[in-house]
Amino acid sequence: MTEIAFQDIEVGDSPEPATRVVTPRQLVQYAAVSQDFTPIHYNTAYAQGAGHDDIIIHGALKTALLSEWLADWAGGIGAVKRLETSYRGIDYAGEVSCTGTVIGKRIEDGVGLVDLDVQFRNADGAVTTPGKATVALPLRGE
Amino acid sequence: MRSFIGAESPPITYRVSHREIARFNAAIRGDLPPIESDPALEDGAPLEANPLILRSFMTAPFDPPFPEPFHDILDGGSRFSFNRPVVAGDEITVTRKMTDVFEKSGRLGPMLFKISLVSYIDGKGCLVATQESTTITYGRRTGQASW
Repeated sequence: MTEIAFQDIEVGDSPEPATRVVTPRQLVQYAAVSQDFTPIHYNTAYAQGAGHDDIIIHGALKTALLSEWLADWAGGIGAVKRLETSYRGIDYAGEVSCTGTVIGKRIEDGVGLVDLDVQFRNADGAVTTPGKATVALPLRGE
Repeated sequence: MRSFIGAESPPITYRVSHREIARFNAAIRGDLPPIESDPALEDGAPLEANPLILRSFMTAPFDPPFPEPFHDILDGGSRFSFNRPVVAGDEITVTRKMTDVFEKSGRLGPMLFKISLVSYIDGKGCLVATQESTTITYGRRTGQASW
């Protein structure tokens, strides 16, 4: 894991995007650990009866994947302090990606904070879940 | 239904185990869950949870229960603030406060939006995190309420 410092980041920077493949098995696994057994996430007939083309990715799993991606970017010392997501589009199991851009940075109470616009995208690259995040990064030399 | 604005759910306390964190993190990574003999399930080495593990700590129903008019449910989004990571051994007490209820029509027909604030407090009384969540229900009627 590469460690980055607050001073290394500039407004306009973009963390390296991450692409993942979310499988139906992962949706079942996530249903089990999250206690979210809403059938649209694992029962195709139920999902179609509810107006969807197929089983859909849990919204909270999308937020968790964005959180994991941001935490990887922040490194072992950094931390995700705020994460806001709006589920505006449906994502089906398959390829997805996380992207984002730094929109601001500041130091508060001796902590380096970086604000980002973040996006969860479907296989076509369309943004289905826009969001905002704040990540604490270590200050170099401290 | 708007009479539920301001209602708070009874608190529930969860003890977070090393095993639970290992399983949750595996589900986020898409890894197979660790098998029972996996050393990763042993308590010992510090293990930090993906913060969305907080979502698995379900809040209690409101008392009296909310008269939900629809069967089908969608997650509209969340706004999390994290004060510190969740680690094995934490005891997290969860409560939900309803902050708004309103209706809208969309692609899926009539929908009910419920906005609530969930608080996660540790055994020392410190706020670990908050979540403002939007839950949308729609579709088949339950017969419990009409509007």
